[in-house]
Amino acid sequence: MNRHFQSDIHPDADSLNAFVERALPDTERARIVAHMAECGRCREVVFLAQAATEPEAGEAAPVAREVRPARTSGWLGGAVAKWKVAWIPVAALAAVGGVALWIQKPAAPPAVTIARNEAQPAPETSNAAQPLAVKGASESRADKTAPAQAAPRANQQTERKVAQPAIPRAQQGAGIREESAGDPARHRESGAAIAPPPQPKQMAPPNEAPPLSTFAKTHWQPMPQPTEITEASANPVVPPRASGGPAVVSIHGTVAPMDSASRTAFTSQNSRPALSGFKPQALNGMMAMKLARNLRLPSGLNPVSSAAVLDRMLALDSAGALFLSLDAGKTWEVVTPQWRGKAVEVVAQPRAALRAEAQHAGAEGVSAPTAGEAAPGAADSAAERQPGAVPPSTSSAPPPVPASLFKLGNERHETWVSADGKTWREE
Amino acid sequence: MAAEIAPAAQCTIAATLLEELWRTSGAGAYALGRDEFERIVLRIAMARNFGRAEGLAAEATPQQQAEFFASIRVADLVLARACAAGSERAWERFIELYRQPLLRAAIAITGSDTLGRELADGLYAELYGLTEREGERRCPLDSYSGRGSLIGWLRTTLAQRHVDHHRRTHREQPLEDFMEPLQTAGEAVAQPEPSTWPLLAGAVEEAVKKMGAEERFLLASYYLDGRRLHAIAAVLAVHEATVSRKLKRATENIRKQIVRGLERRGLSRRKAEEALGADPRDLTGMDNSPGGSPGFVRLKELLQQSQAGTFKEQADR
Repeated sequence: MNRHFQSDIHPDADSLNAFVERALPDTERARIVAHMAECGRCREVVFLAQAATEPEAGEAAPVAREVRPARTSGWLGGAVAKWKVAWIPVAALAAVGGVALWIQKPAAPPAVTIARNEAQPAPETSNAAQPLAVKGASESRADKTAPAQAAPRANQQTERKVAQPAIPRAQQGAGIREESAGDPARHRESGAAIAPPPQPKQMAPPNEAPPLSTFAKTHWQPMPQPTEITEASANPVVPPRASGGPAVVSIHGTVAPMDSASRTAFTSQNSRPALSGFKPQALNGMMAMKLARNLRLPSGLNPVSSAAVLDRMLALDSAGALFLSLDAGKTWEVVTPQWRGKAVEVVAQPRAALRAEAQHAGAEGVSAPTAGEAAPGAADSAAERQPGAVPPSTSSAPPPVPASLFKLGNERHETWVSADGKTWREE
Repeated sequence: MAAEIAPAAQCTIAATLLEELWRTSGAGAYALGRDEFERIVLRIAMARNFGRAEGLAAEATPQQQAEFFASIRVADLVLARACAAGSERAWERFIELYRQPLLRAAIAITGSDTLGRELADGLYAELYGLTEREGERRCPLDSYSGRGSLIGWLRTTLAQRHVDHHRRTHREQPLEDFMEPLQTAGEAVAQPEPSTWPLLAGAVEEAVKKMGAEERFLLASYYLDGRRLHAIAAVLAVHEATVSRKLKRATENIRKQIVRGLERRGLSRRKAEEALGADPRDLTGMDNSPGGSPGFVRLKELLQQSQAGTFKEQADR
């Protein structure tokens, strides 16, 4: 290190400035660094020049900026440069979130797909023929008005849909979901008999998952109800579902109401519902509740656990009361407690568990679930046919049906299972 | 290390390239003739061999010439040379562009409005060529070669003037002004035994010589000059974390080297560790000046006598 200033051995201002501005080639830069390692004077000059650069950075060298872009400067540039390290964890979080969303995203289409074959209730449906979940006078009024308005559009839609080539079911479901969510008329026409007229305030934003009721009523898959319920409460006509494929859409606006006898016959014929294309997707917790249009339960309490499979959504409130919704949370009905203690959790069986259970049941020769265990959505392909069409032959052995779609646990970790959310048996 | 500007040799610049440089640099606005412009850029190019190896300047292709001129700031260079030549238009442009930035930079460097204005005025006087040497009017702008920006060159020149002025004048200040805090700090640092000083000095010198230039620069900037990590990072164009990591590694390395050197000189490891002391500033023994005190390891004190390590602290007093 040099004791005294010797101007002839120090880099000139041009070289030091080029060093500060990173305009030197590597060899010369290394020479400057080596000199500064031993020269306090040049270190001082460089640090002072660098320190004076920072406040000037925003407006330095207007001529120079025309030739070569300067370093990132300005308050925004400085802030970005200062916090650019923070982008690393932010990017990591965003990536993780994106992956999580990507993983969760396939959960929605199956619900859309499965709910595809929903029956078109007859315009003349009586009050007795209303679905279990439908309550209130407004719904009744809607029953009488909406179908008539929707019929022409529904027929047009039918023709359009039938003309489409066969496409993968998931894709089709996704496309339909978009259409359903964005078209109130379709919403009204498809859910004519059981849904009130769509209210703009209640329409889901485009970026949200459409209400389950929208696609459930547009593309319903029949869910064999327990026989006594079917008979007594006269659920809306539930045409059998298709085994899959776009032709299912042809039921739009073309399904005539069944009378009681036909319904009984249909129920008996379809007591062994086929599971071809049966791919229920379980949704639990918040994912399930997000499908609901209205998160408020009739009890007024907060939901503590929820689950959804197919078109059925179950929610437990904080008091342990269980509620069932068939229209994506728009209306709820109380499920009579058939379990001991306080229910604390309700979950939907994962798809893999359902499949395993179905296979297990098939291996044991279980072919016809009981009324209470009949899996929703299990119906045959007659749904896509015109009214009066002959149901498909049952000679080919249908896949077995899972006995339980939902599980309910109480405080003592005892478990009950249900295939429809209403009838429960202890596991 | 001043860039020597050699007279133009047999090399010429392609006509189309010269025309483009003339047009983009705005040389015409300063009433600079084309011949003068060509002479300026050619001298700069020859001084740096068009960015090529020594002796290959004459063989530079038009493409290489264009790449070289793209790497320098021709517009700034032309303005500086036009100012040095006394062009009124160039000076008007210079003042328009750089008067306020220069004043702000001077104030930032001195930390004082008054001193900053004084410093800027002094530089203006130099730039106008009021100083003469050997009967010739000298303008510092002649030394600008266009490698960095002109405002950067002005800032660096201001910093040089300020440092040089301080180094010329600080010797006039009473010595106790410098020594008082150091003595206080020195009392807190454990002193190694006098018998180990020669050994320690030799080990330190050996360890420092083995270090790379950048490591020595880091240690000197951080421990001797008291610079902060972000300032060092800005000079080296790396992140603060990188500087911190390199600094830690350099400190550990020099510690190991010194301990090994002391062990080679016959000290036990425990004695060697004791000789190092606790303050890492005591380890950066780079005082190789003839008047330095060999074996005396309170190097900060030594370096303050010979270096501008605490220049800013002294300037603030």
